[in-house]
Amino acid sequence: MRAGVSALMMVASLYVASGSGTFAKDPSMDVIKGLYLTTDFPAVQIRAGEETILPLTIYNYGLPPQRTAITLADTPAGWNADVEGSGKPVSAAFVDYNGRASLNLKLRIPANAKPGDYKLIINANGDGANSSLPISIKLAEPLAAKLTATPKFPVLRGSPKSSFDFNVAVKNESATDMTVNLRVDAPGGFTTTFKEGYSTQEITSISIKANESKDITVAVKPAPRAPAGETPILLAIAGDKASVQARLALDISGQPSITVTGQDERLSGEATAGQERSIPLIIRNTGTASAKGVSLSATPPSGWKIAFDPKEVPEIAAGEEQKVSALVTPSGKAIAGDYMVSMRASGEGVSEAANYRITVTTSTLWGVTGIAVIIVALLVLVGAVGRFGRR
Amino acid sequence: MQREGSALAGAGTVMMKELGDNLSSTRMRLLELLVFLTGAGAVFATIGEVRDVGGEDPFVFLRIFTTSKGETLPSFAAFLGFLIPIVSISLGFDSVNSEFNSKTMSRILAQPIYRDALLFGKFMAGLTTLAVMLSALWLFVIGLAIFMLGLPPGTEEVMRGFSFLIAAIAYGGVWLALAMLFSVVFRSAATAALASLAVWLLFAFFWTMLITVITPIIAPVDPYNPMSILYTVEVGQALSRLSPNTLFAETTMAFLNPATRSLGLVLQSQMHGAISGPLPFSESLALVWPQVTGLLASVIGLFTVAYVMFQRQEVRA
Repeated sequence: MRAGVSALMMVASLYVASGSGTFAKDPSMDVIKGLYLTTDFPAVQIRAGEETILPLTIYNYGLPPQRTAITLADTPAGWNADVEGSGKPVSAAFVDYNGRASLNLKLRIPANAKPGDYKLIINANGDGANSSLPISIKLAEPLAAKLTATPKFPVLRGSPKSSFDFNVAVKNESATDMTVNLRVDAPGGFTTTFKEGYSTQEITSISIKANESKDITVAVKPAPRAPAGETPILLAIAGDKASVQARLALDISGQPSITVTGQDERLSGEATAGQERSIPLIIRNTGTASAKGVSLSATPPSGWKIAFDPKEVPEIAAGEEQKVSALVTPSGKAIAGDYMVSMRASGEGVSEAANYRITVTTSTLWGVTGIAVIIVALLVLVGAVGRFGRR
Repeated sequence: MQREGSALAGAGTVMMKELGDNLSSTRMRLLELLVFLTGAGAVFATIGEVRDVGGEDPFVFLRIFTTSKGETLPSFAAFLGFLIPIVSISLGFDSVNSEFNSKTMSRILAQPIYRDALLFGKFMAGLTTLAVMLSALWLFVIGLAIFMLGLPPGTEEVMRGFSFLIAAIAYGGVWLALAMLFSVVFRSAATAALASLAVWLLFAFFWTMLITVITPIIAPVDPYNPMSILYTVEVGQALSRLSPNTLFAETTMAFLNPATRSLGLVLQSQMHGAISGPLPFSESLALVWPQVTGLLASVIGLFTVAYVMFQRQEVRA
């Protein structure tokens, strides 16, 4: 164990010794001597309005460590040029013996600068050694700011209840970043929300970097009673310099939707045990397409008879209603009180039930019988009085 | 000798005299005190429980009559079912035979009063005494409930409560008629009282036991025929309804518990699709109408028997 640790320490010390030695023994160092300010590409083409960063390097070959002042000369009017080191504006750099200093030249050229050839000189002044770096810049026409919007599927199909999610790729084809506002022109009652990609957060604007593309989701929810057919909507994407519009369309399919209710929205009624009673029902189509083949059924308590007149309605147009009579015959043995009967109307693709509360009243026949019994008892009494009455 | 003129001539006079005697007698005072104390006790004991459920029940007033306090104290309605027969019997057991025993019968009949009128008057006086007492008790309980609950009763509650009062008077009438019948039959007041109390004991306590013995003899249960079980239960119920106590208990239940939908046997198929809820008053009345009819017809029937027997009796000076 102890032998292993000491071996590891020996390897580490060897590595440190070899690292410090190699650069000093480089043979080229003996030939070139002096201060050099360099950049990778001293002649560049830039578009006006863009921001460009040129990397600069100062080499010190064979000179003592020294402070090197950096100055810019011949900067064209209106241009903004800064020398930065480690992200901060600097005006001098310290270059070690046989070392280097890395700097950046940050150029901000106004968009209204005239295209043409420009020249910029950067001077590095050290202790008795100087270096000058001329950079020639060819200024090109600035790119026109442009946005494009490409919907993945421009027409979506669905029912008035479904949500239409349009995926639109918005691209910023300009030199600068742009924040764009999103807006949709849709008929009244439609609700629209925007989301970025698959995120759940709703947005109203989005910032897109130069030459980048973002996917946005435009979710459109039609009005509940939106008419069937194709409804065009216009997606407008507007930035400060450019805007674009995309045509989208919702192909809304009609859908019937029915409700079952009683007359005056009443869902309760009375019926006498063993006697037929007609209960008016109203079937209303609140959907956007006509309901076809609406048949009526009920789940009566045992011993009850429930028939419908008519038994089936061939068609109820959208927004229309149809009156139907339910002929309810409670069981002759039904006891008085409330019963729940489910009345169902079902057509093609629609089915709706309503719970109807029927208060069963019993026949008054027994009441009459009871009175008759009392009358008989009284007659017996009167007869007894007549027969046995005496002084 | 056949009577001439109305059988009721003079009945009013007899009734007013009897009523005066009844209401001023010490016996009545004691009975009234007993009834009021038990009634008030039952209401005071149950009002706390009624107040707890007050907000949930639309018929909170009816609960005053029907709520019992645990196992210890029966409800007000149950108290009445127990006390009304005692009061009625004590009002009627000596009404006719005491006149014979104190030798006043011939003296009364010497007056221009028919025999019919005497019995009618006595019965009406007894019934009126009972009605006055029960009405006062009823108003006392309702007033106490308004005072303690701080709520006025609803129309439906008043109708149901009033129907209960009428049923209670009719129930009392049955026992009054029975006691008067015995007072006609037996010359000794003590015998009449004992006979009445025996009948009351029979119906109040032994009738249920008797039915469980009698029913299997009349309608034996065939274990292989489920319908025979149904028949047996129906026979048992019919026998139990011969008792005025059962009739009064069922009437009370239908009037004071609006959720009561049936008093007899209910098959599962009849309850299919039914939802619980209070019946309208008219339906409760229709439900319990046979019981009410039974009580009223028993009053008339028993009185008729008493009347016939009294008319046939010999009255000597």
